[in-house]
Amino acid sequence: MRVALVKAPREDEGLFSDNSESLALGYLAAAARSIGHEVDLHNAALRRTPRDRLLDALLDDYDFIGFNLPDPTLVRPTIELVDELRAAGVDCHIAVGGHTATFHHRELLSASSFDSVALYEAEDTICELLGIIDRGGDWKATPGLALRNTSGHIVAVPRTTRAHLDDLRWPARDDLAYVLDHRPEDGAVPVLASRGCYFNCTFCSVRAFYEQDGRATWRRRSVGSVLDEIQDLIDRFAVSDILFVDDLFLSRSPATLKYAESFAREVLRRAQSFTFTISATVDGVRRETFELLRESGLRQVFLGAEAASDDILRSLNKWFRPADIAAAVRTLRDLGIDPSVSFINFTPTTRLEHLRQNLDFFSDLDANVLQGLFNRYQVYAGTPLYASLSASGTVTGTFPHFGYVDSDSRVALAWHLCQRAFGALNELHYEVKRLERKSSRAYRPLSGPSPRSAGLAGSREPRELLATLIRGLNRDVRDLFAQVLDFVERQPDGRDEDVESFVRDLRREARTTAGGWLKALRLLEASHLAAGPLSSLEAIQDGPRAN
Amino acid sequence: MAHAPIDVTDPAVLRRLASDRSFRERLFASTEEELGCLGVAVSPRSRLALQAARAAKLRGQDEFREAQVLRCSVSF
Repeated sequence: MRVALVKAPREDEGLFSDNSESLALGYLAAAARSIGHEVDLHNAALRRTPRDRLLDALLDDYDFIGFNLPDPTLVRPTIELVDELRAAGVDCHIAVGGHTATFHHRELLSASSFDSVALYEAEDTICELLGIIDRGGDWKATPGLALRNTSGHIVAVPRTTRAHLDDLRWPARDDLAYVLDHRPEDGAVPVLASRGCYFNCTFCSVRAFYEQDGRATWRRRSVGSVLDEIQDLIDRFAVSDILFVDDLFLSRSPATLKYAESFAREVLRRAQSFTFTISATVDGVRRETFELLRESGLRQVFLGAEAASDDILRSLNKWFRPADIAAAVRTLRDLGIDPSVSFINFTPTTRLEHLRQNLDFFSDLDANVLQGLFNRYQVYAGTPLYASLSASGTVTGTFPHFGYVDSDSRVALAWHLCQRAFGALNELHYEVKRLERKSSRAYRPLSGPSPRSAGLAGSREPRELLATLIRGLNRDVRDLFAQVLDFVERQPDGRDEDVESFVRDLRREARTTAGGWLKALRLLEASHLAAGPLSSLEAIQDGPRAN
Repeated sequence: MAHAPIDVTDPAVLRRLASDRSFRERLFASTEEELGCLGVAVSPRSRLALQAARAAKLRGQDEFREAQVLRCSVSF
């Protein structure tokens, strides 16, 4: 059968920019190809394919079209595409899958002409479904699908999740060459070593997505399989930097710590040369484990620190303390590993004093405060917080975009002011992130230069200079945000005329500040991160997104 | 007043940019001639680095989009 697997183009990139492959599509494509189907990947979100062109491509007589719907912002573009396909006469089976599709299968099946929703992990479901369609059988009993039955009711047929991940085919890498050519700085090479998570953070849907019979699950691939896949990527694409996109690579749980240590030892035993980034929980940062990981190539760790106060951490079901965050960051920096610290500044239970605590704590930590200061909890279906907000009647909006009512009206005003005044800081945040990745990759004191970072090997200087710039930038951003807090404290009711005048002045100041720092960052890039001859500097002048 | 020439590719310049706002503003606002007066050496690499820095433009978004806190990086 001819199969198209699709990710729709985004209407507005915002912070949901697609700069790397979709492993979801890659895993599905590999599974379908393994049983003889001909599969085309159409990742329009990654390739910025215009909708009309994608539509033309999908009118190419496919027998099955599957859409990946991982987040709410893709709902509308995906539904519109499906409607247009149907209007153009496409009558093949059209399915959709992903986190958002799974938790909103009722809304999707009610509001659009999808034939089915592939729930949860979908490799086995899609393979079985394709086989039944190919044979002309009745696909409506396929385990793992949600669908409208003959009487028009929406029903879901359960499927047991596969126990072992090593049985899965490695994901198809149809888009990797494109990423390496077009987004060499933004695009990481994603690899998945495990699925699921033991924890139950209130803002996260991962547990609900993977749990079995109400129990949390965490399944890992064997270390050998992961390293064989990475070696294959190195051999075929000359890549040198891997991003582990696991929901939980490492935590305080003994199973994950043991796995991480086995992984590091095996990298060293095999003498494989690559750098990598992982996510870890704050309380999973143990010096001895991370020494080993550092030796094997770990360069950057994403830490979901979330908040600087015990009560907010508890409300998010995080069981570490602010002092643990500081200790984890210190340990990582001592070892020469970059901590990438994120937090959720605005949550449903945040009060004004929490915003001040976050500002002070994360600024003093010398974390990039932009990576959290303007984070506001997103209400995703499937999360514990969605359930509790729904129960208390404080969810606002309609599918697919939900919000919540702030418990502290002063926090709502602060968020309103940030939204209106700090647009310029958004761009600055993007640039800091990009240069964090670029400088982290540039530091590669392992044996043999990386094929893709030749000329930059071994220098810590760009990272240290970037850290210096971030400290300065933090001071300015802290001042800007403190102005918001001061204003709200003075005028908790936010009189209209005062708000307008305040926003106008603050916006101007934010633009000036952001513009200055953007130039300083570009100067750092041009002087310390542009490998090779002067001609390479000329490319930087056009900016990072000029392809 | 005489200035010791500095090169914008010198790490010391970046460190000063991090702490001295007026220096930051002067450096990016000055013409090549004015930079010479400020004691900034305008080597070919410096010139290109400064041009690259000045080319940095903000997209001018007025509304800050709600930052997405997405933990579901891979999904099926």
